[in-house]
Amino acid sequence: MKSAFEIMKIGAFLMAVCALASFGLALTNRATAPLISEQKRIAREMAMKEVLPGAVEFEDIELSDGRLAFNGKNSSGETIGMATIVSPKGYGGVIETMVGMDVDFKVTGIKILNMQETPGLGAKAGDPAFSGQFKGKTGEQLYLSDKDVKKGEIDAITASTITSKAVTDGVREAVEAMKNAE
Amino acid sequence: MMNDIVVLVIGAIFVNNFVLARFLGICPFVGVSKRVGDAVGMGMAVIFVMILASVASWLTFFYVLTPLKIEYMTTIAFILIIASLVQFVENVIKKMAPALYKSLGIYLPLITTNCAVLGIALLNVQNGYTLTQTVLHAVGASVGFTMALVLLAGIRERLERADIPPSLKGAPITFITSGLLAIAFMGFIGMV
Amino acid sequence: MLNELTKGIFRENPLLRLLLGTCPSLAVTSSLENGFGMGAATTFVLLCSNAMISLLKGIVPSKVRIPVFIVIIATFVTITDLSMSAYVPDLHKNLGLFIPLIVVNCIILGRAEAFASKNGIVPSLLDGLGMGIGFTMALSLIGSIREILGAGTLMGASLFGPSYQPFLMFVLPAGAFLTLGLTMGVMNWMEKRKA
Repeated sequence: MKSAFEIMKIGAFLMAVCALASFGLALTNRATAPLISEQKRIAREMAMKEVLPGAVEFEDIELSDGRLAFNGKNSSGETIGMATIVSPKGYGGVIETMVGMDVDFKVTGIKILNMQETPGLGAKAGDPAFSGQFKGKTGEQLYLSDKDVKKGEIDAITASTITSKAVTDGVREAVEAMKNAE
Repeated sequence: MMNDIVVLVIGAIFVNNFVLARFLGICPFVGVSKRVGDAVGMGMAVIFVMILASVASWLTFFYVLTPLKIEYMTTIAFILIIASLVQFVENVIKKMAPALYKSLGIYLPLITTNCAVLGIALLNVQNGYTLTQTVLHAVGASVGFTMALVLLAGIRERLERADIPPSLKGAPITFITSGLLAIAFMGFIGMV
Repeated sequence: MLNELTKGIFRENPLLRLLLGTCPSLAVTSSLENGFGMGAATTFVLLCSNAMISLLKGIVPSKVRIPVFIVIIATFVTITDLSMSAYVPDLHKNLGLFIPLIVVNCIILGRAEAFASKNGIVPSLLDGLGMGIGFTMALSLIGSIREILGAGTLMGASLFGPSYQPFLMFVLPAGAFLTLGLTMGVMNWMEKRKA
């Protein structure tokens, strides 16, 4: 019967270790969970302020197609624009992009939140040289500049047309979606 | 639907190859790639365990951890699932198929600390895959792992007869070879 | 005593000599900052798990020591994961999947089994610190090489001015393999010349 006792002893030991581990983790989780959600909120708000300069207060709105968007208000409480997130498919995966626009649906700024584009090539989409071009553009201008499509006003990143097109299409999609939601 | 399946499986095999693009499972990739035969055996064992582990960890995450709101226990739960799963598979194969055990058995204990297995379990839930997508992802990823392993083993068998600078013999030349393989695999980016 | 500390830095450097922990050293070393961050996180887990396991020496039944070690390591990894997410969210985002994967980093279980479970707490802490520093140094070295060649920067600061055309391949996966292979080759070559 020694072996049965041994097994029970070992089992009890394992349970004690697991219980202690769970307890430790529960405490850590309790201490860090509010900090983590606060960090996420700060990151989101910084992105929103960047794409919608001048806005200081934001309220969540849900569009009819289920898309999440935000209304941005300036310090005197007027709505000066809105922002939403799109995820067009680029070269290495989706390019999660936040797009801000004013009440006339002119783009006020874009910020790439997440992407897996090739470093040095497609990843240049995050550089101001490319993403800064979107500022002040309206829906009809949001195409890549090309010999055939004269209206396009966005210059693609050299050797990264797929990424450039994905971001441009994504920004246009965001503008259209907000327009349709009116 | 058909298109999604192809994208997921082919993407996991070629574009996001676990070894050459995501760097998961490098230890066995370098350790068990001296002979093609060993590489095939290890690959088969990984395919088997990765699919089982993906399903088991997915079920645990969505039916145990999420309802109890203890997602912070994910890492600890997954590694225990994988460790016990490997042990269980080892025992079952030993009893049911001694011949298979002879060829796969020695690779099984190595799989617990293969970060590709824990990696895929975590990726599945992070990407919010459904159970079907999880299985497909596991198939693609493990086949991709096996392919890279067998390719490297084939090259290393030939390298043994090559005149390599003495300082680069062994691990260094293996990494350099893998680097060249990774360059070749870059050609697949943008395919899906 | 001092030997426990220094052996991990050069002679038994876990990455460059013992070939342990290769996955994170390839995956997150595209810059010095990421390499150093990963090394620091691993060192923290290694110190905690070595200390805990040497304290439990003699209490853990030998049959179940591996599962017990794994639970202890996974606990410290999760604590690290949560704390990094709370205090250094940007680094946490860059390292991503490879923070939970510290659990299966062979260095940690290897030191637990080979050293901490047989030695007292002070040598175990020194061993963990030495191994951790050695690993961090190796990761920082590879991160620096890749960042300088692949992006022309170090810690994000431009080194060669705007006219430098970076050797992109070094920040891509292929460059990780090549850098690690060549670094090991140079280490071997220096060792041979000394001998």
